[in-house]
Amino acid sequence: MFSFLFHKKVAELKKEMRETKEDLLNVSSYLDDLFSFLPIAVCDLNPSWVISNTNKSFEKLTGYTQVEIVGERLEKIFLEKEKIKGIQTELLNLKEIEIKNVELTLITREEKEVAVNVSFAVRRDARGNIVGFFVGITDISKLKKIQDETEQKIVQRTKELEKSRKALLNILEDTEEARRRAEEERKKTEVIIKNFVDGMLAFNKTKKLILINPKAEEFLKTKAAEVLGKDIRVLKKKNRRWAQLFKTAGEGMKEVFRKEMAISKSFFLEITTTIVESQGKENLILVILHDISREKLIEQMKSQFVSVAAHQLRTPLSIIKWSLSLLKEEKEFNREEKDLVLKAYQTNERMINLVNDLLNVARIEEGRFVYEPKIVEFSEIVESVYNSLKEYARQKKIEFKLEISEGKKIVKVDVEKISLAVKNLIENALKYTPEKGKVEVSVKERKRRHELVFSVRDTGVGIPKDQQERIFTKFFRGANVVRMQTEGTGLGLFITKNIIEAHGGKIWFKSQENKGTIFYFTLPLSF
Amino acid sequence: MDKKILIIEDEEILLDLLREKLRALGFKVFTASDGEAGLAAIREINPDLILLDIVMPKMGGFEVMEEMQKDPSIKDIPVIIISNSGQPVELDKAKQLGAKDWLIKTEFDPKEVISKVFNVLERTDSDYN
Repeated sequence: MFSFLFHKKVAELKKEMRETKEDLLNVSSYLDDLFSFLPIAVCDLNPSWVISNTNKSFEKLTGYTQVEIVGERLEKIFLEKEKIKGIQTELLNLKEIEIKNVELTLITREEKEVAVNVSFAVRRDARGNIVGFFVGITDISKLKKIQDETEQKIVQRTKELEKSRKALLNILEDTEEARRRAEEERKKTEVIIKNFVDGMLAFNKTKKLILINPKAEEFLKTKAAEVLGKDIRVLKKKNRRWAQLFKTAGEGMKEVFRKEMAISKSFFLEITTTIVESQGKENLILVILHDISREKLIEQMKSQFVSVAAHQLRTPLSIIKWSLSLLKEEKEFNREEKDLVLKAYQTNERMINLVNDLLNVARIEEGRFVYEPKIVEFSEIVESVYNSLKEYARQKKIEFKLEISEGKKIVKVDVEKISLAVKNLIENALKYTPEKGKVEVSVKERKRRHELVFSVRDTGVGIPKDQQERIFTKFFRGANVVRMQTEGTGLGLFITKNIIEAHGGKIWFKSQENKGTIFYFTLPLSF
Repeated sequence: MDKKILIIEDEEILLDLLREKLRALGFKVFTASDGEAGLAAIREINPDLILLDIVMPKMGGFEVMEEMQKDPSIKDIPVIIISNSGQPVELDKAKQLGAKDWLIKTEFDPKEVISKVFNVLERTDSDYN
C-alpha cells in the first residue's frame, strides 16, 4: 500500500515535474521569442567578456549569426577595442541596477562601420556575484546622420547668417554713408538758401509756407517764426508787402515769370514762381524774390536820358520840318531843287518817327505810357489807318485788302495808341512785302470769348525761324529784313506788343521765311 | 482881315516862320518869346487868338493859361497849344484850362497850323453870333 502510494506519489511528482519542466520550457521559449523579437540587438557576456548568447536583432545588426559570434570576445565587433577593455573594469564597480551607456562604432561582418549606442548592465546571482553582462546595442547611425546633417545645416545656416549679417552691416554702413551725405548736402543747401542773395519762399501743396530764407524775411519785413506753417489767407493779412506779393503772384500760385512788384519808388522786386515736383510726390511752390531796384534805377536813368534827348531832338526837328515844308511850296525852285527839298523833308520825317519811337519806348519803360481809354468802334480805327496807307500800297503795286466782319466791334481803348499798333503792323507788312505781293487786313469777332481778332497777312519775306523768339524785343530786326531795308528802328513791334497787352489783348504771329507772315492781336470787346 | 494873333514861343525860328506865314495871310501878328512877356502882351494887346508854347523860360504855357483863368478880361481868348510833346495828361490839363486845340510841332506843318487857326477863329466867331 505504501509502496503503491509512494509510486503513486512519485508518479504524481514526476508528472508534476514533467509539467513544470514543460512550463519552464514554455516560459524559456516564450522568453526566447520575446528576446529575439526585441528590436534592440542584445547579447549576453560571461564574466570573462565572451559572448554567450545573442538575439535576432543582434544578428541582423552585426551580420554575424549566433553560431558565428558566440564564444568571441565583445571587442571583436567594435572599433574602439581599448576603450571596451576600460569599460569592463568600470562595470565591475557598477551597482546592480545601473546601466552604462557608451557610444561606440560597431564593425559588422561586412566590415561596415555603424555608429551605435551600447548599454551595459551587470548580471549578478542571488549572492551578488557577477555572473555575466547584458549588452544592448542600438543603431544610432541614422540619428548620427541626422545630427551631423543638422550640425552641417547649422554650420551652413550660421555661415549664411554671418553673410547676411555682413551684408546687413554693409547696407547699414551704406545707409549711414548715404544719410551722412544727405545730411551734408542738406546742410550745404541750407547754407546756400540762407545766404542766397534772392529771397526764397516755399509753399506746400496746401499752400502753407514751409520755407523762408533771411533775405525773404528782410524783403517782406517779416520773421520766419511768425509765418512758417501759415497759409496764404493768413499771410496776406500779415502786412502790406505780403498782400502785395500775393496780388502780384496771384493767390492761385500759378507759375509766374519775372513779374515786377514795386514796393516803393526806389525798391522793386521781381517775382518768379515755379512749381517743383519733389520726388514725383508733393508739389512744392517755390517763390523767388529778386531785388531789381538797381536795374530799375539804371533803366529809369536811361529812360530819362532818352526822354530828355528825344525832347531836345524834337525842337530842332520841328524847325527843320517847318522850314522844309515852307520851302516845298516855293514856286521858284526848279525840279531838281524841289526834289532835293522833298528828300530832305522825307528824311526828316524818318528822323521824327525814330525819335517818337524812342520816346514811346522810354515812356513804356518808365511806366509813363499813359493810356486814355475811350469807347470807340474799332473798325473805324482800322479803316482810317488802312486809308492812310493805301497810297503807299499802290506805289508798291501791292494788292491791299481790308475785310471787316459784320457787327459792331466796340472797344474801350486809347485811340492814339491802338492806331499806332495797327499802323505798325500794317506798315510792316507793306514794307517787307515785295512788289506785286499781297497784304490782307481783317477784323473778326470771337463772340464766345467776347473779343475781336485783328490780323494782317502778307506775302513778304517772313521771319527766320531762329529769330522768331526775339521778334518782340526792343531794337530787334530780322537779319533778312536788315539786308532788305536799312531803315527801321526795331522798336515798332516792341511798342505794339506793349500797347496791345496794356489793353488786355494778346499778340502773336505765324511766319514762314520767304512765304509770308500773319500777325494777330485780340482786344476785349466792351459791349 | 485885322484879327490879332499873339504867338508866344521861345524858339526864334519857329516864331519867325509862323509870324511870316500869318502876316502873309493878313493877320496882325504879335510875338513874345517867354511866358512872362507873353502874359503882359495878352493884357496889352487883347488878341483874338493865342498860339502858345508849353515849355518856355521864365513862365511855362500852362502857367500863362492859369493866369489867364484868373483874369476875366482875358479869360475867354481862344488858345491853341503848340508843343513838342502830346501826352494825354498834358492834353487833359490843357483842356481843363480852356485850350481850343493842341498841336504837336513835329506832326504838323505850318500849313496845318494855319488851317487850325482859321478853324478856331471861325468857331469863336460863330459863338459870338
